[in-house]
Amino acid sequence: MREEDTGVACEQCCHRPHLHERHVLALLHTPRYLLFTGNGVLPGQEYLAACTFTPPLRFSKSSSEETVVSQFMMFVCLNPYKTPEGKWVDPVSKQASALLSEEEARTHHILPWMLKDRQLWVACARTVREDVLQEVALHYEIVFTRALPEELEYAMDRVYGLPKELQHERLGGILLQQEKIGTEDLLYALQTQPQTGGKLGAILSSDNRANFWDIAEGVARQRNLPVVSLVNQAIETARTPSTQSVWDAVEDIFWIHHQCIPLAVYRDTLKVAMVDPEDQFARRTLTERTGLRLSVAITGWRDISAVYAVKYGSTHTARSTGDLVEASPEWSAHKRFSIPQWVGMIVSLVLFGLSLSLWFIPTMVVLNIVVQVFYTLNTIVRMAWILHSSRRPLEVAVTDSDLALVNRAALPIYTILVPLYKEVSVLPTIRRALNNLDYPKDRLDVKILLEADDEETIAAARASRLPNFVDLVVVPTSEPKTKPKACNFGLQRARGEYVVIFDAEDIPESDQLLKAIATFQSVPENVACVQAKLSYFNGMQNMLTRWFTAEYAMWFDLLLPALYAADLPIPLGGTSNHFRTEVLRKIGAWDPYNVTEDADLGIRLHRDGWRTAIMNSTTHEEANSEFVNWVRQRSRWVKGYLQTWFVHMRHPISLWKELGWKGFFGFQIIVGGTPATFLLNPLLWGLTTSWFALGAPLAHELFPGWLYYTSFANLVLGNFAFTYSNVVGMARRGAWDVVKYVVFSPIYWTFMSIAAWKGTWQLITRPSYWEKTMHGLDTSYAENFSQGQGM
Amino acid sequence: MSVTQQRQLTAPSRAPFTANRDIFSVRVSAPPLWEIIVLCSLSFTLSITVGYILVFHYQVILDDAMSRVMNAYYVFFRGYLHFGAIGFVWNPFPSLLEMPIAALHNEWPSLVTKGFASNIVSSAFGMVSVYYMHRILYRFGFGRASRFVWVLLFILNPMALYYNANGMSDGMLMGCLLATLSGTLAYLEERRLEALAVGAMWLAAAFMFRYEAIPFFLFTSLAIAIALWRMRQPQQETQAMLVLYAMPMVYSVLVWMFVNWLIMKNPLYFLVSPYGNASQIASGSYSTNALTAANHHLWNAIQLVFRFSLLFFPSIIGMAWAFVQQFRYRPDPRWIVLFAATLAVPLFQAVMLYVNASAGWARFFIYYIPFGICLLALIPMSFKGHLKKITLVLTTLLFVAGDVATFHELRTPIVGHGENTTIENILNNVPSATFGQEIAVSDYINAHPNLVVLADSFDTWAVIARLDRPSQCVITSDIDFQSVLANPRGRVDAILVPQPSIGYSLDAINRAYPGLWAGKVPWTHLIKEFSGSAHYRLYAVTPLAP
Repeated sequence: MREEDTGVACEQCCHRPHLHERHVLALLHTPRYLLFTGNGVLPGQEYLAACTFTPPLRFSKSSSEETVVSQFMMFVCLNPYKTPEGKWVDPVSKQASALLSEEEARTHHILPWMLKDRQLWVACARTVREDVLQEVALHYEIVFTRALPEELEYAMDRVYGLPKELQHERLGGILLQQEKIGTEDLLYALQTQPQTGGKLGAILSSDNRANFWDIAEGVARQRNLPVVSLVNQAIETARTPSTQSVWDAVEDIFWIHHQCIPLAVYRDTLKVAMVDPEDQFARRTLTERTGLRLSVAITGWRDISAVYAVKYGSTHTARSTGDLVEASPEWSAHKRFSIPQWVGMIVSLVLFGLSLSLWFIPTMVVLNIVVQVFYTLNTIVRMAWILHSSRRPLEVAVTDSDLALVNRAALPIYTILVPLYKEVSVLPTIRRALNNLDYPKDRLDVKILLEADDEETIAAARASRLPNFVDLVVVPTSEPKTKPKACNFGLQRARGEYVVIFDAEDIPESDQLLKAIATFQSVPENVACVQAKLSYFNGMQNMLTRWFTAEYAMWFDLLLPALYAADLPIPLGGTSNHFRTEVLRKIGAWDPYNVTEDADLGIRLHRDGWRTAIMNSTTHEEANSEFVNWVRQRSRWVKGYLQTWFVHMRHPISLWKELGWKGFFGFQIIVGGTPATFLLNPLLWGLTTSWFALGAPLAHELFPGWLYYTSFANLVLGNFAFTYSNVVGMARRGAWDVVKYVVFSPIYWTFMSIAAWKGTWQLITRPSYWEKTMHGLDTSYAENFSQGQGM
Repeated sequence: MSVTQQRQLTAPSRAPFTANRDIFSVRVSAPPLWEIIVLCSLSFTLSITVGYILVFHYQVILDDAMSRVMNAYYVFFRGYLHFGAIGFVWNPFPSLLEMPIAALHNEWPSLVTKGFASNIVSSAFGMVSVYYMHRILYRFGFGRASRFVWVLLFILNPMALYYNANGMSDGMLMGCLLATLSGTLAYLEERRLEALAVGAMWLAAAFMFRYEAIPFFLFTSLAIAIALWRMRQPQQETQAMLVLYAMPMVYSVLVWMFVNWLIMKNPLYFLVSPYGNASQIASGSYSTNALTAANHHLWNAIQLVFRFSLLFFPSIIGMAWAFVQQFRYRPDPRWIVLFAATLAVPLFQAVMLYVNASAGWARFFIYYIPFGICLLALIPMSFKGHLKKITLVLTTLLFVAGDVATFHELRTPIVGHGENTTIENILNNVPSATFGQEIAVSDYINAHPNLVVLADSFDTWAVIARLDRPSQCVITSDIDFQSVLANPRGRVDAILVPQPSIGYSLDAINRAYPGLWAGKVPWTHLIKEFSGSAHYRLYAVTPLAP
């Protein structure tokens, strides 16, 4: 709305004959006092339309004592408003309102609200009571204005405080009264509440406007319940002998979901500490399961969390490493190879060796044929997928209008797991990225997963003023020390209906969680995971990051959507995969022994009948910009893909039955084919070079007739096809600057081969060793982002 | 909640169409399939019928088309696959595509002996030309009637029809270039990258048909850059688009050079081959007065190439209109691309004529026809209402007149250079090639099953095609050909050599033993002499031979 459109006088600030846009916006968007008083009010537009703006009516001593508020009086809005800089301004001056007693103001519904050049501006709701202001009028010229009754009352509450009879009924009022929060905080919470449907206390605490303990005290006072602090007696509380049977009466997740813990049992009474005493489900369940009467005390979320950590710390540690291994050992990479696999490999090697010694050339030719057939199929199938994706995007597209239809008030709790290890530098980025998420903060359950031996990061995280909706979860040190183990540990404490993993340096698009919800609501029930796309924010940092970015563009923009469209198993990306928490728990979550637990989980989901969808939201990560660091990361990926392949090929017939022939074939191409091509490339390039450049006679014998032409076609067409699809992929992303560098991506493939051989060697020597990738090598973008300049 | 499968680009650089909507209107839906099927079927039926009549009735078997079929035939001539036998003079795709058809020669020998495999492939590429011509016109926004009539007039254009039928690679290149143009125009119209990528792939394929693809690539690249600059696109985007457009073409050239290096040990062998165009022109085989006048006389060379535009005179109007359009504020970017596409090959030929590296055949200027049609077709779209209708009728009349003029010009000695004689032969019902001499030679060899003959397939291909037992001949594509040529004793029984007059002096045997045909090589003696234009002689290799 433009200022000229209003055509009314703004008396709130500058007295010029217009109403400032910000005041109009305040009228349209400011939450109403109804939440506080229960009164209704007109929606903003009607409100404005109902008002007639006229010159102010001035007080004259000759006028009658009581005059009905005139339509010709100037209308003013007394609600605080936001300045363009984001600061809240209260138009009601305490100095002006102090000229009238609270009693008179509330009785006569008038409020002096502004003093200006010996003019006292007074707001009236229904009648103009000049007599009340007789005394004041001796000193000031009174100017009467009109205001809505509820706004007038709200203004009075602000300047005089809540009426006594209301002080114990409203949590906001109590907190305001106790000066735990300010007007601005309350206003923010009230504004947010109708949009998100959250509870006032949760909104205030999740936005760091009040801490959990303040809220607990407020609730306790409101409910007239006792308040208990448990932080310093977590061990005693967790180990109280009388409550052990109560702990066991429900699943551990119940306590964390309902934010309560048992304190003690006295005769037929169970004393529980709760964050939300209104949680009737928790009360009913506890009563039913224990057969005890309930006595409730209030406590804070941090207190619950501390006791819970003590109570279940060791159990969760054991579960995070042992759940999958114990439930389905054949699906875990705990053992590198199964016995039949060992036997198969040894027999194959022996036979191959024998065959080589007896028929060297024919054996090598047969091997060559197998390799070339694999290469040809790999190229054809991948290009078919890529072309399919190029013609029309195949992922689930959530549009802005779809998002607008999402009922925010009904949004579930969303757990975000952020594993962090020796990455102090990315903490500001995490904080900003999490704050940037467009999701009700009171329903965010963020777990930053820290390793117990990483004292530096733990100390930095504790000191970094993270939002209250972020929990620091310290994962006890145990083997294997891997990311999936930390995630499993975090999952034990997840309260969310959905759970997502973000890496330490991730910057997801702000609406990603909403898009994931919208996707889950639109896809069939058997979709248990929604994978967002990944890209890099430092794609232009150097040549390596450019190639890496191009590779990701092809993988996430073209290949994975094609797999999704073809109903094939999808190896998940390491981050930004959103799960239905229940399903994730049911299938045993991540394999802590697999170093690409994400890829493995994607395949396991598919085998179990679940599906993964790809959606049109992107998470920006930091591309590895340093060669050695990149090789470490890539070697881990290759090792993990090989691990995953071996795990799922332990029972190939079951795999075939569970995935179907298409899925089985897709699995071989994606999970087996990806590392295999990296491993084979240098061998074949070497063979080709030795033949073409040096005329090696052996090479000639290995490529008889049609095999030579097939190999040549693979060399010429295959390499071109993949390079060009990278070029087109980057151009489609609009990454114009990267396009020309992508032409040289075959050089990048040699790097991949180096990493692949390293990974393969590690599969033999250190199968579950987690090659840590260092993040924070490019700080420029992340710094900008954390300072609010990025994105 | 309606979350639908994505109908928009995931991360489009900008919304499609928005950039160009204010400049021109464009139709983005797909043309009806039945229209395409009808027109393509018509084109193929017509081309293959004409091709059949040309080959089997008028004996019009063109050397260049035939040599490509023979190159395909040589690949499996020895009973195993030998792709190197395709040779490194002509671009390989015509032979590669003709290879599976030529492989059926046992069932129908004429596929090879009369080179009919090439007619089948060129007819198929006639369909490609028609498909993309129709697509371009459809996207311009023409109604069904206009599209049908104009595509029909394109199919019936005498030169286009002749080259779709006669098995030459020019018709095949025409199809590839029209496909490239279609992709480029689609990109400029819709900003659809995939269209440009597909166009670029066609261009890379075009290079594998004929080298004229290179000037076409250079001119259209420049045109795309100018068009994007005028559309105020960022420099980085223009750069990226040029990379996208150029990459397949450059790769194609590099692969060709690599293969030349790999087998012939010279990456530029295709340029310097003794069998190449340059060598043949240098021998003076194709010299005419017009070519002599253009030799190192730029103005004459330019005049000559523009004279060839008479092959389809409406293209002159189209080019003039496109030229004028360039002076408008924010011109339709399609004009400059069409203008560049039309002029690319002729201007390249001007340079080639200037340096005396072109034979100046009429077929080098066939591109005036398809691109002239596209240029002229865009003119009516600049008008509205009655003016548009009038220009539609006028354009149709121009196309009719253009087709008639093509026929007329093909019969003239300068513009119809290389075709006029054949056309006259056809009109006078005179068979062009009877292969009587070659049949006599092959009959002789077939009648002597123990005779092994050394022959250069450059000029003896018609003999080789008719041999019952390929093992009786050592030919140029054989790996040991050069070795046998140098030391024939004990490896071949006889050498077949044509009279080293003009043209046949390039025969490998004549180059190695210039006096052989005349009987001046002491370790040979004449076995048999065959009368005819090549005047073949078969010399026995005596034990005195090296």
